Amino acid sequence: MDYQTQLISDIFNASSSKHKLPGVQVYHNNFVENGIRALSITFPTLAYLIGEEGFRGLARTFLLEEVKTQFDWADYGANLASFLLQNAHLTELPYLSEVAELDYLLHEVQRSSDKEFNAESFNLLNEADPASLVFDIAPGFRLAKFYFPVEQLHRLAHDPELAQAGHKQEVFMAELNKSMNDAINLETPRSIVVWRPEYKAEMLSLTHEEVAVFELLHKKQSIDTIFARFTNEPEALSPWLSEQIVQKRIFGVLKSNEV
Amino acid sequence: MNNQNGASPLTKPNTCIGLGLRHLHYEQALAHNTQSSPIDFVEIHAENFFAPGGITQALLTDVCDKYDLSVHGTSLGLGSNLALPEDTLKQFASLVERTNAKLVSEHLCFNRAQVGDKIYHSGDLLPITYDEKALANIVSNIQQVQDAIKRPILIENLSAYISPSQIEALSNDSMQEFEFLKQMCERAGCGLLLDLNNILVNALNQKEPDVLAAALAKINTLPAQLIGEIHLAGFSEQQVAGFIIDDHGQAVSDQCWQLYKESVALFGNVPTLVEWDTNLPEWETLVAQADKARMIASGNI
Repeated sequence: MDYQTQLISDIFNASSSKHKLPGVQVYHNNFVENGIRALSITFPTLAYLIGEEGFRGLARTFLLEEVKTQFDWADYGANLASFLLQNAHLTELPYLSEVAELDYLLHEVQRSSDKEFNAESFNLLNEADPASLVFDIAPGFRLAKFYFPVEQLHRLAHDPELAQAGHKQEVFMAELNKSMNDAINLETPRSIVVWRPEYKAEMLSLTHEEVAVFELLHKKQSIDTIFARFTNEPEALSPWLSEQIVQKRIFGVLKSNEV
Repeated sequence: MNNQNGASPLTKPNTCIGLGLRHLHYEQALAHNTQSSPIDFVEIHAENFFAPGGITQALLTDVCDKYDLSVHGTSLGLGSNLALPEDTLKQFASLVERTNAKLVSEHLCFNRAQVGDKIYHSGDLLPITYDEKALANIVSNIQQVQDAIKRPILIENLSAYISPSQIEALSNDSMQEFEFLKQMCERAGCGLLLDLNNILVNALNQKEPDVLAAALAKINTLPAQLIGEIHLAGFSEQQVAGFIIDDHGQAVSDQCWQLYKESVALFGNVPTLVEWDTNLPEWETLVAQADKARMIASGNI
C-alpha cells in the first residue's frame, strides 16, 4: 500500500496499523471535528432537538461508519436519516430520522440553482394550447412524505419566540404533542411540498387532494393535464393558480418543446 | 501568462491587506466602512460558494461589489496521486471566473486515496512526499488547474503532523520542503502563498530550539518574485496528541508578527491576509488585526 493510501486508511481507521501515531490521531480528530461542524450546519433541526452533546455523539458515530467520498462537506450526510433508523440507541425516537430527512431536503433546496421569475410568460396561457405548455416550477420544488409533524419540529428549532416560556410556547407544545401522538397512529404518511421562492426554502403541508395536483406539477405534466384535475370544481382553478404564483411555487410557463 | 490586468502573474501590486471572510461576519463585512478603516480584499473558501444557487450566491455578488476577492481552494488536493476531480475543478474555475478574483490559491497537499473500491476523501490538507515523483505529479495538476482558470495560481505551504516515512517506510523525502516549493513554482509557473503561521507551527512541533530563527532560515531561501501572498494567523495553546494545531483560532501570534516584519523586509509589498477560522472574534477585532498588518507593511511599526 503506498503512502497516500496508507495514511488515508489510517485516518479513517480502515487500517489499524499506524492510526495510533500521534500525528495520525491529529488528522483523525480533524476529520471528526470538521465532520461534526459540517453536519451541524446541514442538520440544524436535528442538532437542536437532541442537543449539542447528543449531536456530537451521533455525528461521531456516523462519521466513523459512513466513509466520506465527497469533495465538499456540504454534500456529505445524505444517508444520515437511514443511519438513524438503524441506530439501536435511537430507534425509540423514530421521528429523528424524518427530521434528518427534512433537514437534508431543505439543505439541498437552499443550494439548488437560481431561477428568474418570468411574469410575462404567463401570457402564454392565453396564446397557446395548454396541452403544449408546462409550468416552470420554483427552484428546489420537491414533494416529500412524513409520518411525523416535521414542519412543527422544524419550527420549534428555528422560531426564537418558541424558545421563550409563555402562552405561545404552551399552545404550540400542546399542538405538537397532539400531532406526535396522532403520527403514531397514521396509516399513510402526510405530504409536504418544499420550494425556494427567493433565498429561503419554504414548506407547506398538503391535503390528499392537493398532493395529486402538485405531483403533476413536479412531473412537469402539461398544463391541460393539471387543469383537468379541476374539472369537477372549475371555480377552484383560478384561486389555486393565483396562490401558486403569489407564493412563487410556479415561476413561469414554458412551451413543452423548450423543457 | 498574464492576469486580467495584463500584469505579469508575479508582479506585486501595492501593499494590500485582507481578511478571511467567514459566515459569522458576512453582515458586518458588507456594512463595514472601508473609507475609515481600509480592507483591501477578503478571502473566501471556494467550497463554501460551490452551490449553484441560493443565498450564498446572492451574498457573493454583494461581497464582490464591495471588495476585491481572494478565492482560496481547500479541496482540490493537488498532490493526490489520483486524477484531479473534473467536476470540482469546473466549480472552482467557474467561481474564479464569475468573481473576477484578484488572488487564487490552493495548497501543497493531498486529500484522498483509493481504498478498496471507493475514493476516501479526508476533507483535510495532508502532507505529500517531497521527491521527484510527487513534484512531477503536482506540477502536472497545477498546470491543469491553471489551464482551467486561465491564470497562475498561488500554492500555500502546509502545516504537517506526520512525515510520510512514518507512515510508509519507503516514502522518504529526497529534498527539503522549500526546495520542493521553489522547483514546483519554477516548473509550473505558479506563485507561493507563504503561510507564516504554518512555518511557525511546524517549527514548534519539530521542537526547534529557536523557532523564529528556524522559520527565518526557511523563508530566506525563497526568491522574492515567487511570493504572491502572505497568510498571518494564530494558534491555540491547547495541544492535541502532543502537537500544536494550526487551528487559526487566536489572534496573530507575536512570533508571526515578528516573522511578518522580516518577510516585508525580504519580499516587499505582498498582499497579506489575516486568517481566523475558529473561535471567531468580533469583526472589529479582525479589523484591528488587519490595521496592525498594514502598519507593519507600511513600515510604521
